[in-house]
Amino acid sequence: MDFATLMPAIAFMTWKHLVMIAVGLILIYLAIKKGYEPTLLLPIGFGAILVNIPFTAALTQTDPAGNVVVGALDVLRDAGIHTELFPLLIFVAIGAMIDFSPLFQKPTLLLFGAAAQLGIFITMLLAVAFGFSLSEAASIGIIGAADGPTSIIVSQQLAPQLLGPITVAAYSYMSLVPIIQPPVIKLLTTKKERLIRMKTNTAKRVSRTTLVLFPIIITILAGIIAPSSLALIGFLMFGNLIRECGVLNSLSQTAQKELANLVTILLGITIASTMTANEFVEIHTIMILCLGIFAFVFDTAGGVLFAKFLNLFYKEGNKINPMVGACGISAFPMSARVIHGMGLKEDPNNYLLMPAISANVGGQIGSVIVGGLILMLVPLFM
Amino acid sequence: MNILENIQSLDFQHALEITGLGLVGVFLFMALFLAIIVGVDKLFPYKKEEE
Repeated sequence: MDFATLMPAIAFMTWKHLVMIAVGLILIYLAIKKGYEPTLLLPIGFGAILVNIPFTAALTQTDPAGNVVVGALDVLRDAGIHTELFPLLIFVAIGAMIDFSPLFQKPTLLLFGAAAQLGIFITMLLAVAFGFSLSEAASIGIIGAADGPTSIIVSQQLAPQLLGPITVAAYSYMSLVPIIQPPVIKLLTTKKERLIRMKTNTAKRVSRTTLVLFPIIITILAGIIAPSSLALIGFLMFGNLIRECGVLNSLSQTAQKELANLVTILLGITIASTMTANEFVEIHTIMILCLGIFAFVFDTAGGVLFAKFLNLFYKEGNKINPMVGACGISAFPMSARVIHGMGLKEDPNNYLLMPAISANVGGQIGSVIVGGLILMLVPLFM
Repeated sequence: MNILENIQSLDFQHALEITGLGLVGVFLFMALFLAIIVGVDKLFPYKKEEE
């Protein structure tokens, strides 16, 4: 009996497998030591190790007798990713976690959720210029949605072969928002602009009827205008309705905790099943990771520049602090916290948390809408 | 990889059109949602007895 038969995993290990195992270890390190999105990067990192040991039983293999032995991760991928079930269930959980009432305090901040999607489209153009197909480019651009489940759904439908690198980029950069956003904001704003104080009506209360009607009306309208966005927005709003209806507190708590935790565990490790050495160690993976950063940078720039544009029309005293515009990306609530922190650094008495949260909630809605729009528009041009 | 050639490709033209439509679309959606928020909030204002 030769060595390859005795120890096939070692005999068939290539440098690509070793690179992927190293990637897995780095992701685990970032999750544990640096605290970067640990709920997802840790399962993804561990999964990357799991699927990159040759002949791993976690993936479907053919045994020496020629029989197909189905791997658990392939079963999970077929059931949870190909059907989009896992990301949609995550949306139910996110919906149950979001409080939309800050939006009612200054509704115009919702528009930043549109402006800060600029990076998605610029990145799509860049990706096409670098030779990606239209559907691949749109999937790469959606990294800028700063919204993992939306990135998974769009890339699963338009470019499933790129699902692994796109998901890793989306979740990694979301965790790097505190590093990516501040330099872009500082580059585009003056000290005077960063010192702008915003009026907030924290005393304003929102009726329960309003909070219950909001997810229902949004779902109906989004469904009528863009049915392709309905799965995304519908599951998000369903989760929110459970939260706000007031009669399903137990379900709301379950969605926010147990459902979110369970699906996150399965989602992370299942995504890793796409990170096999042969598919991942390619030049296009590096290009996707680079383009992903551009998406976040241009998103931030889009929000900041839109705030500066609006300030041309606002009178002194009503102006918007342009840093708040950057919260229009969907990384919730990290982006709002980053901007609040930047505001305090500039002026210890300038509290930007409320407007930042409002814009950030707008970003959550905006990223889902733009995901639905891309799913609707791209097939029309293919 | 020929970037100039890619920029002149049909895919790039389509990507430009999607960019235009997408940005207009997302602003329209958000403006609509903004109108809904303002409208619903006006129709059903918060009353103290809700507490």
